[in-house]
Amino acid sequence: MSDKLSRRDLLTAALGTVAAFVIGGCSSTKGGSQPESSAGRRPKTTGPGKLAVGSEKDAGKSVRAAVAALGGMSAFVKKGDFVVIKPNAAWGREPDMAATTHPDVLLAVSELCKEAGAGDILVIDHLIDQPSEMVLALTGLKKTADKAGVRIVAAQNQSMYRKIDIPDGKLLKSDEVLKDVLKADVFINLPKAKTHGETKLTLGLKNLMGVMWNRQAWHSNGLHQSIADFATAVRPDLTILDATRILLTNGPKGPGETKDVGQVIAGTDLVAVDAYGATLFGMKPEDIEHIRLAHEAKLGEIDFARLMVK
Amino acid sequence: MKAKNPRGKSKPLRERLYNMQTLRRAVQLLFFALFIYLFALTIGRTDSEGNLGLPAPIPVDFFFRIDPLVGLTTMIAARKTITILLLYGIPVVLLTVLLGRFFCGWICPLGTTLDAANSLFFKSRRSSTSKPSFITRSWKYIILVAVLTAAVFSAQAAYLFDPITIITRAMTFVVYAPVQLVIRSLGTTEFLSERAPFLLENGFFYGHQFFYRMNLVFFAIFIAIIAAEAYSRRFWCRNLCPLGALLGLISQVSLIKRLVGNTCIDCGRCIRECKMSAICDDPREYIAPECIYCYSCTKVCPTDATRIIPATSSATYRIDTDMTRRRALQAIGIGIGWAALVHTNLATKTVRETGIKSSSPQLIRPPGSLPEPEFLDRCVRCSECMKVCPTNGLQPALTEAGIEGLWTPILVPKIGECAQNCNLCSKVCPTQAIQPFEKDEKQHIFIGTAVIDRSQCIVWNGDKACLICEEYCSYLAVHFREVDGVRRPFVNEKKCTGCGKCESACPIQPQAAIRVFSFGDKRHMSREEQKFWSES
Repeated sequence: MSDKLSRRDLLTAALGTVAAFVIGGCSSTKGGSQPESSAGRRPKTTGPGKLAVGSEKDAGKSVRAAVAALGGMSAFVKKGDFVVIKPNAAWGREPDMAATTHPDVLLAVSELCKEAGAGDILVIDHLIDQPSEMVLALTGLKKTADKAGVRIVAAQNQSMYRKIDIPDGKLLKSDEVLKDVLKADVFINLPKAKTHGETKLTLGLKNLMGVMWNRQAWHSNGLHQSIADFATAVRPDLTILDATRILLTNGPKGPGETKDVGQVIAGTDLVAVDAYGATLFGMKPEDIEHIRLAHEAKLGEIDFARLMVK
Repeated sequence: MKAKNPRGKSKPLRERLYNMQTLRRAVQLLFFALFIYLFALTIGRTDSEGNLGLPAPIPVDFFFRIDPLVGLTTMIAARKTITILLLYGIPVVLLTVLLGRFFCGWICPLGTTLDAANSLFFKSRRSSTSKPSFITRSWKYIILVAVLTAAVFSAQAAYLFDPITIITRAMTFVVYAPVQLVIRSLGTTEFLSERAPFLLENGFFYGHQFFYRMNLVFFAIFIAIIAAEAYSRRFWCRNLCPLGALLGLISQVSLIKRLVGNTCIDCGRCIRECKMSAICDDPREYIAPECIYCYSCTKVCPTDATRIIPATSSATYRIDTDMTRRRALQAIGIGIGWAALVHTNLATKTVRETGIKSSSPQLIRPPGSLPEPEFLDRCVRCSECMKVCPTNGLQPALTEAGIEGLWTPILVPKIGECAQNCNLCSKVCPTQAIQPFEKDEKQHIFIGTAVIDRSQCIVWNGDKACLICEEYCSYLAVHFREVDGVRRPFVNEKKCTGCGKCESACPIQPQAAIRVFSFGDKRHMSREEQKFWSES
């Protein structure tokens, strides 16, 4: 047998090199093919926002009441829509510690989306505590998502994010945002109402932090302005603030003092929802810097009373 | 090598299939599959209630338990009886006494790896198994005696030469992370990320890519052991393995012997085929402590003169161990010398009454670890804890614990914190260098203390709005106070367990503005004392 390279050898080598490029190239943490920076995600509905509060005894009923007052979920979700729900699942805490979105709230929202005819429902969040499997189980959200028959994903890989431009940002000019959020037909923000060491409160605006990759960049640039900057480029269609049980001290992670307020606030105006939420803690929305900055950037109405439907 | 009978015809297929060598290979593969299976089981999985634990109630450190060298050196060095090691190790010892050094040929995963490497890479390069050198063969006995002597003087050295630790380290540092990388690379392609999401997170890997320090070093060692196969068959087992030496020593009265009948035609095939070169010039005689019962000699014997069967006759075997009194004394000297050097290495010196080592402020041990002296006696650097740690924070030490602590696990918070609600490392430690602890005990197990470097912290030295350390702390150990109009972070030493979540979260990397230091290590205090201290 000749030692010279045969045609077959050359072909095998070529295929092997291509395979190496495919595998090696894809192993960079940027992942896959990166299209050029694109625009963020703006809510579909324009015009003045609406705000409603549900305060039933049951968390699920509160959700339904609040959403019904806004015209029902079918006002947001059309048949076959790809719906992305972003709860607060960051911390490995049990639901009654009020550090994460309560599973009953997620259940009700998922059911409402299904009833409105959603095609694919994805519950997604960029978790902070590890390992993510444990966090999703401890918060009760995995069990609830399975019960509701919706997908739940911990977005811990950079390849799930894509770079967007933030042209109106003062400190933040670009960021990496979840691809699923960017291509969703409906994006529902599902925050938990809590205090926060740096920002005093974390509500809807701050909850958006979980749809982007590099949290450290916001903290090192200046957290308050970064939150407001991001919201200029990425905003949900609907925000449903879980204020059934709120965290009063040692937020956002706790453990701390909790209070059963029993309210769920649904709104299309992210700033207004946050402004209302601030009052539950006895604070003025203008005193929360990121809410004030977002209002000044014309992202929403700080005087929520004008938008209240119910 | 197909055995042919004297008339030149191949032995019938049935005979070629149903023989002891085939059985041995099957058993070898079975044990290797078990080894891989147990390695895959060394991972944290969460049940529906949110409890993080091992996927199955099977001892993933099984191979360490049945390894008598691990049990012996650990118990001698620590001066303690470790029941679980006795329970699993004694049967192996007894079986070896009765049946010989079968462990090496039938069970040892490193042995199986070497056999596989031989089949795959080296078969064509060597025509015979090369003449044995009695000098190099004695090295393994010297290593064994040196290692045992060092253990007597409280210096754990078995980790350098124990085959089970070597193959497990190879799996963790050389195989695990690169295999994960290849699979994840496929999972991040546009094509597969939607169709096959399990490629990114599944039962074999955590959801994020793992990284290990010094993986090149472990790769080099592993490759060197495999490459030695090119020089002579089972080079490691013949010349260097102290476990093989130990098993060989105790198999002197083995009941299963190799007997050669009258039909032997002195063809010498068995001499060439013997993996361990246990058959020397006379095919009728063999060196019993070297025989690993691979049954190759019986397979190739053209006249079926060779048999390995239970027998009481001792006519045909020699029990040379190539160990003279002089060599034994030299080995003892090496062991004492190693222990003395290691114990007078500067890094071993501890400071004050706390027993904190002077070796490095970054010596952060896994929670539940025994105080340092006993930890070092017990830790065989098996790498199980480093594999199971869900954040990838446990890494092999280089100089942080001194030469005595080479490759022992240390927490590197900037890679991964010590996750709350996790006690996986304590569940996989084969020698209990990491003692069991409950998840809710963790807040009172202090492995270090975080310190804020105000010159680097962008809040203290920049008035920025950060406080990510305060936000992420699981134990309420970092709090803020408003100083000069800005909320700034402070560490409460009584609450800080040293988990390192703050260090891992800090935006300033790779040297974070808040770092965990070993002065907070409270292992010299009992769990009750630590709890009492933190609450005082």
